[in-house]
Amino acid sequence: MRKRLLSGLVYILVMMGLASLRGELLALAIPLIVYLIAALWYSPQPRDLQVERTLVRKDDLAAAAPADRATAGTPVTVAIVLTNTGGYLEEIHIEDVLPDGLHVIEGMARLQTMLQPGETATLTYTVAGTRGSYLFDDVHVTFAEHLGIFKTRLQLRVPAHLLVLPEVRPLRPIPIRPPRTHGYAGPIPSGQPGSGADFHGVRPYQIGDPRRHINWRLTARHEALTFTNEFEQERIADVGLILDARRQVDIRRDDDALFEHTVRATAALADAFLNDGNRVALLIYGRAMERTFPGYGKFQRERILRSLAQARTGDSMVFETFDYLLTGFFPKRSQLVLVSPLISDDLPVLLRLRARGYPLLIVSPDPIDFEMRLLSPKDPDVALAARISRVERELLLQRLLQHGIRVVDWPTGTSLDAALHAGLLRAQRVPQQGRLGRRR
Amino acid sequence: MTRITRGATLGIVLAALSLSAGYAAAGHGWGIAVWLAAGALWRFVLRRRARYAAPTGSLLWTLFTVGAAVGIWLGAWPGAMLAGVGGALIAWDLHALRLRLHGDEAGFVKPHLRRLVFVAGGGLLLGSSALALRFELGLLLAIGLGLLAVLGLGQAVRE
Repeated sequence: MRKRLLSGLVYILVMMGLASLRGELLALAIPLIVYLIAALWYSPQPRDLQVERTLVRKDDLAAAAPADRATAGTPVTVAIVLTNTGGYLEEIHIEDVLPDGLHVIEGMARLQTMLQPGETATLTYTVAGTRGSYLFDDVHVTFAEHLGIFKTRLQLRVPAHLLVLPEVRPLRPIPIRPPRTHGYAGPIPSGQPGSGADFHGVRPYQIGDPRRHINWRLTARHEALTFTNEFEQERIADVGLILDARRQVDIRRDDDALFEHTVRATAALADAFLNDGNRVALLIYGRAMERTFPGYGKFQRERILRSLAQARTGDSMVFETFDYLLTGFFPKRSQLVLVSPLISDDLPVLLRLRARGYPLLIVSPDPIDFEMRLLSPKDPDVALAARISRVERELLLQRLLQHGIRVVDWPTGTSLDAALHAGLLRAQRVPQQGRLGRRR
Repeated sequence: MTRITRGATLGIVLAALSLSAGYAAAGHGWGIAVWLAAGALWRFVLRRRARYAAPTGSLLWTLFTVGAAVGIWLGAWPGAMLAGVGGALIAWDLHALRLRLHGDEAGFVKPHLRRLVFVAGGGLLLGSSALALRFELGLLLAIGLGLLAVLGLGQAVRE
């Protein structure tokens, strides 16, 4: 713009001077011509540049370890290092393009500097964001001479990927008793006699049994027999987590979504089950069926959190109901944990799942409680609608409980840990219509 | 007031006073009011960082430069008009620099001012020398110079 204006004025003055044959008009153009020539003379030639981007978590700055992951809200420092391996660059304006969802909390995503040959400039700023997968890509670099007339704009690709993982709140161990357990020692009573802490039964003494396990009271009642105590084996189990990512069950408001609470609950549950040594798998059901295959330990925790970081709601017609839930993905009679706000259409599918022998635990973020925070409870119509919805939901949860499905109703404003343990206690008290026997 | 604002104000004052004096000396008293008002407006816009600041600055610079050319047509003293063009150029350059910088680039100002002084000083010196120089310009030479200017500028500013 400035270049065009300057040259336009030079044209006008020169043409006026030449047309009128008046030297004074030509003389007026001289300062502008000198200015233009000086700008042209020093116009930048940025040929040799090296650009590098690093992401460092703010809490890791001492270690200065590059980070491609952070938890929600954790500040991440972005550093773009520009090295000039060519000639002197008088004015450089660097501007980074931020992915949607990240916001700058410290510094600025732009820098204006000058670079001598061999010198480096570093643009540093700190971002934070909500759960998600973010791809940094282009850096816009503008070079100019001091007068700012001739500019060269470059769009440099400096890709970097940042995963913002969901927040994981620690939970107390969750009591589950799936009918099938693994051979490794763990926290879940397996229903099999063996080494353990809980009393399981008694049997006649066999040579080799430890003497401290002899049941002296029972032995005293029999003349010829000696009895020994048996303990219940405690093993690890397979746990299948199912995250409901159907858009129809999600509720969104300006800065929050029910789905985010659902994801956080899934992350906390995965963490708790993995901490107990169980083998955990994850299925995200909504847009498609995104699977994280079963695994143990910290690596599996990382895999699950990475999957959850990228989880999005979807409104596929195929996955509107749980009819196509891929149960074959989970080992038979393993513990299934569904994290879903639930709708009444889900009931038959969940009952079928239970009938197939899967012990089912449902953690249900309460959509009515979440939505009521958006609305005015004093409005009589809203209050009536909430009451009807509440009754419907209570009925749905009650029916699930009666069929032996443990349901935890979680108002998202409260602690998941407290809701989980209160809900599990409540589930134990509900009389069940048909109890599935444990296979021994 | 920063060095940039001070320099730009100096340029505006130089441009406004030169054009006012030139117009007044040529018997166009209204020129004083016009150029002092234009200078005051530019000084006002100089302090702003609004979206209109850059286009208004460019518009006022164009006005001063074209005004200097018109002044020569109206018989104003060319030296004053040349000083007006020089002052307006300095003000326009520093106004643009002020808008370009974001406040943390102190290192830019010194080399910029150094170059501006060199360029504007050189331009004014050459312009003054040109005013003092007198020679006959034939039609063919004028056309040739015009073509040269068109081609040269076209080459220089092409994208």
